[in-house]
Amino acid sequence: MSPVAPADGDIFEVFVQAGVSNALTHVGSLVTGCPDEAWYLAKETYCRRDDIARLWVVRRGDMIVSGPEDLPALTARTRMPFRQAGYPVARRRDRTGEPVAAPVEVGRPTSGPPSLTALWFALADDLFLLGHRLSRHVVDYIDIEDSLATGSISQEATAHARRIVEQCGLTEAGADAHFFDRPAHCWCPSGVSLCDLDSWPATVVSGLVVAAAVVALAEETLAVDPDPELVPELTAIRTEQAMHLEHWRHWVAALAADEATTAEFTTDCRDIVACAGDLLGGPAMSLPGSRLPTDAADLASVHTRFAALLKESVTGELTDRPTPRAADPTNSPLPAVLRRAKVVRDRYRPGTFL
Amino acid sequence: MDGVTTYELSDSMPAEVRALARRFTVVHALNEFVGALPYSEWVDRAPSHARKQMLMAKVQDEVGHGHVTARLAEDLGVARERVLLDYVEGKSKVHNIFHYDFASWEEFGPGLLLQNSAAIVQFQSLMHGVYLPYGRALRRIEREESFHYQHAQDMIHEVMLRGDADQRRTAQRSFETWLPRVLAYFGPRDGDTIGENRAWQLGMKPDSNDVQRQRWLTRIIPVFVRLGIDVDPALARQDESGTWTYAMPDWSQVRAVINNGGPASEKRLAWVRGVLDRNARYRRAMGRTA
Repeated sequence: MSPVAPADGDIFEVFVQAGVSNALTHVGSLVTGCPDEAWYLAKETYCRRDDIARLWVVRRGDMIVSGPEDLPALTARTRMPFRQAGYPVARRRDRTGEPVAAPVEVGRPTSGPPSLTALWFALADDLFLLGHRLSRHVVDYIDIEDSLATGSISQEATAHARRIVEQCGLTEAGADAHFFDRPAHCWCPSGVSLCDLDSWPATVVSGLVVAAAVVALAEETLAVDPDPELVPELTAIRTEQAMHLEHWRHWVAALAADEATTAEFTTDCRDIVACAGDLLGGPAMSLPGSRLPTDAADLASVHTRFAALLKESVTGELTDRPTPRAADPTNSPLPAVLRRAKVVRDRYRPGTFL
Repeated sequence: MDGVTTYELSDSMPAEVRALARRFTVVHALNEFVGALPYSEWVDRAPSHARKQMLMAKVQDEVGHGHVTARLAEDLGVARERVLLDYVEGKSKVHNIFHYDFASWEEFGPGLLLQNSAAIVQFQSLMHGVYLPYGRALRRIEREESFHYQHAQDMIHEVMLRGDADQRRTAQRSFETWLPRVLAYFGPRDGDTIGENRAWQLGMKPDSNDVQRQRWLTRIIPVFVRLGIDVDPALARQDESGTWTYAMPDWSQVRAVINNGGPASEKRLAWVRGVLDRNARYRRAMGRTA
């Protein structure tokens, strides 16, 4: 008889709580072919010394667990430093002495097809606007778990926007000036970012198409052999946005299937997907300080990736190829959004640490 | 907690303790959900990327605290939708402090710090209550509150350091406006009846209102002084024995505010009614409700 590794169905993970104020802690696992015995065996295996308040045993196969590939998404301390108690003080220390940033033009428009850098730079605006507009839905209490997920998507979209413009050559103060002090007519967001996000279906579809565009662009960029130092950053952005995409897909499936929501969803979906062709449309910019690849993007390739991700998720007519973004469209909600974003900022001297 | 009987969800417990645990967790969840609203209104006006991120994280945390406590209530047999439904149906009320708006960014910081520090003192007391799942939840919640506390301190520091005279005066006025409100947040004076309070007798409420109020003043007043805020002795002063005397809240006014008579009461109720109306069909589509 040759030795065999235990089957997952026979492995049980053991959790004990040492005192009533403590959390349950994983202490190890055991193997038994007899599930009814698992709790008793756990007691004899792991609870021989201390007074234990609670003992829980869970079959390994019934657990949803992370793998090494999930690690980048689980590093909240490094990915989301602003959630740490020490962040305000550390930020103040780190930025002391940083030169005052005026709104800067880091790039200048060029002719010809946009570079990958230019696609990222444009998409940063859409991520910023999405994060900005999504934040309201955190207290919309569709359901509480969803509110929390929306909160993270909103924060991650905002964080990605900043990381992208920093990779394009801006400092933190420069990024603030870029997003807060740039006049509305200098923005060139996608039509998706200008759609009305009042309804939940529109929010879901907008979130989905922006996430799909970022995933497509991240995959395209990773495929062209970027600066190795950029790879972890791009991978993390791709991973987080892929999770957003997956989250929105669940909602898309539910809203499309339910007869009370399907009509509203279908209309919103059609309207937003029709605008989505410009998400990866540029404009072409020269960004000399950027660390992202500055060679011309293969627009057909990145658009094909994007279309494939959308096709798996939503119906609606996406344009065959990337379309240019409309500069300064009429009836744009953007000026009002940006005015409100500056209400407080405008009351402080330029360059104040805010 | 030697000598005190404590309870897990699965333990048999006196009906009164179970009912109190249900009430505490439902009320806590409601106050987190509604309490997040005045903060969330400032997210789209936060003046820099980092401030925006910190504020979004704070609002998300409040919702998260509501989630944790609503889950405890669900485990005790309360459908989570009841938390908000009871509020719009007038069966439950939110704390006095959530019936007001912040009129400016400079008012925001001192209001936040007073509210936050009071919540920390209250949670540190309640976590020693006899219903253990609630105590453990409060330990987790308190850790996140310390981030909110630092954030609020930094906002005040910024205004006092970089704001103009007018902005600094607004921060000062905010302290003076919010201090009495937060004093009232701890609830009525103990009087002679504290011994008859069943939550206190049964160990759900380990410390009286006055004990918590004194503890809070001892901690927070020096913090404001260090930040450059003047503390008028008529508002709060400490005698040689360490006891605080403070401007007594007008309790009839506080009661009126809690009964939805505050300046923002209608707005809060309208938001929650709107949430329930416009989102019911989406929740149903996701199979989250009957």
